[in-house]
Amino acid sequence: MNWALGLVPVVLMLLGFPLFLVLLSTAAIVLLLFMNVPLGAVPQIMFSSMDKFALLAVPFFLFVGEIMSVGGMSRRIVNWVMALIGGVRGARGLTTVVACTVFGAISGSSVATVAAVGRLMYPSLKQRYGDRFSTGLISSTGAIDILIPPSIAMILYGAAAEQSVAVLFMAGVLPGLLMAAFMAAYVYYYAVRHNIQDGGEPFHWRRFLHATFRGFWSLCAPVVILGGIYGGIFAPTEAAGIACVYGIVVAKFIYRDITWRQLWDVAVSSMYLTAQILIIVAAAGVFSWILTVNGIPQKTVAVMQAFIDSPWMALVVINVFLLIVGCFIDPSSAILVLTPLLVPICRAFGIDLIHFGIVMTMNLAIGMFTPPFGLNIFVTQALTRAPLNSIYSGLVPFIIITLAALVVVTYVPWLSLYLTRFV
Amino acid sequence: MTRSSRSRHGRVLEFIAVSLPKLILGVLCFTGIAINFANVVGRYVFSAPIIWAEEILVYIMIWCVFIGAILVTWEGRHIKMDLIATHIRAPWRYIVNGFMALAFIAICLFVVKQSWTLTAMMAELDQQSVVARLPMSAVYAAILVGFALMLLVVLLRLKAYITGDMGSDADATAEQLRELYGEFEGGERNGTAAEGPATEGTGDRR
Repeated sequence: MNWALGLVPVVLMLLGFPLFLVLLSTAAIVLLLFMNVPLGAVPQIMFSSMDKFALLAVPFFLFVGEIMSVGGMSRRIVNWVMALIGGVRGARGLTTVVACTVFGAISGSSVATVAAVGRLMYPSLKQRYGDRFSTGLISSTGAIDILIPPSIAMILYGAAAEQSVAVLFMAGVLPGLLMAAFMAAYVYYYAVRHNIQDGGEPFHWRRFLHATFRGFWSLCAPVVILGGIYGGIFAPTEAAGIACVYGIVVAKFIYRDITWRQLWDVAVSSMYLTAQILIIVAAAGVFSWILTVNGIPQKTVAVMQAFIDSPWMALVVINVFLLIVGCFIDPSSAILVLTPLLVPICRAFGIDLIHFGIVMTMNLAIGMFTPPFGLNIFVTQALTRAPLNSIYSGLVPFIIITLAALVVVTYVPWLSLYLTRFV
Repeated sequence: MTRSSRSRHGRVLEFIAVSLPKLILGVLCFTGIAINFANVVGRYVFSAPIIWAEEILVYIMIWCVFIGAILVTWEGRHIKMDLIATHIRAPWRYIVNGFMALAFIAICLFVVKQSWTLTAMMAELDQQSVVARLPMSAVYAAILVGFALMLLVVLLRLKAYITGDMGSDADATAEQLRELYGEFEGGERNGTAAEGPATEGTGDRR
């Protein structure tokens, strides 16, 4: 039976089966052939794995991300950052990184961030840095968004590993900023090294205040969302819902950026994205129930413990494994399927589950722009129509930089855990 | 996707599989946002939270997921890893796709049967949700309805599923993104005049 649980899902996935179908087919095969339990349990488990208040933050944050990126909020954020750091060498490259970080504090989806910020920055980046560097930068900065709260990946991890979403959000802040700092340092180095004519515009208070004034409501969004959660006012789900109302009011009534039709489309498309992700939650619930009933997690732990004796090494092995997985699968699906297997291993090695959640999220975030399969690469390619080969080669330095950041975050748990004391 | 020469029969089915789910998703989305907002305002402003809000919101989400799944199935856009699958050559590709459609149908039948039993049992026992006293059969029915209609949709689009007519995920994503955001070269800042032709012809489009 173990072979069925291991081999069937891999084969079906490689054949291009939808992921929820892979999980349900495996479960059905094992249930019908090897197990003797009432099959009525299947829909019941599908239901109970979705019946969680924390998951409600997923549709809400998807909605927020879409409405903020379709409306002109992202443009106002970009202009504000540009007014702030326009004088620094490599200003436009740095603005891309910083704007993604700020936008990350509003949106939970990295695709929306790449599309929104990339669309604004690409023309001027391409002029100064060339296609290769620009597409590499745009594809990779979206990963910062996944670490900076709010984050869909962390909500799913929280639900799968039974950890507090609010604590995970707090834990993601410093690692997210570290990743942004690493990228910014590289952009600055590149601009200086290749003598890129970018920046040097003198700082004007007038311009900065004007941009702040114009972008006031966009810049307030992170304050509403994160301030609400950490001020102890809202639960993450409530904050997400409030942010939806805030987004509608600002985009529709204050900035008047979007039409009623667009607002309706945003609602439908965020629910569509929700369905794509959460049906895998339901199927993964059934799959991990089968794993647990058959004691697979314990067996995996036993195997790991036979070969590895330190949490250090365990993290190396898990990180390498996740990096390979991340090249092929999107973070949400990987988290849903693998968390039930990896959490018992972490428990056995005494690895903090909040810290591990951040390591896993960061690792899989890097997977979003590692070739061959990475959603952010697709997004960049779809919107710039740059050749895939040039994007791939542009990505190499950014992959190295972010892997370095991942190593730091993995082996300095303090980065993930320090701020959680204040939740 | 829209073929004007479709029969009335076909249009009715397309309404059930596409337009109606979209309508329901939009309405439920705004309803959810409104209930959550009312609950938060009630709790923090008037100290009178809506006690049934959390429960109902979760049930709305569950219904949304299975209604949305019908639409996702219609467009063949369930999350998958089709990197290798798109490189399988002609006769084999149809065989693999056919196998997949078969598995899809089998799983739908399996889940429909089991959730029918479960929903009927809930109705018979007259189980109600803890706070809102909603009949649980109405909530469990989401799975039943979702998978029953997914089954219908797969059968309706069986040909497209087997030939892979719906295109790859990458193409579909690209199309959707361009609709939503436009292309990068059209960016509003720092005009693009000096940058030569906008497209570099990757030949990757259909």
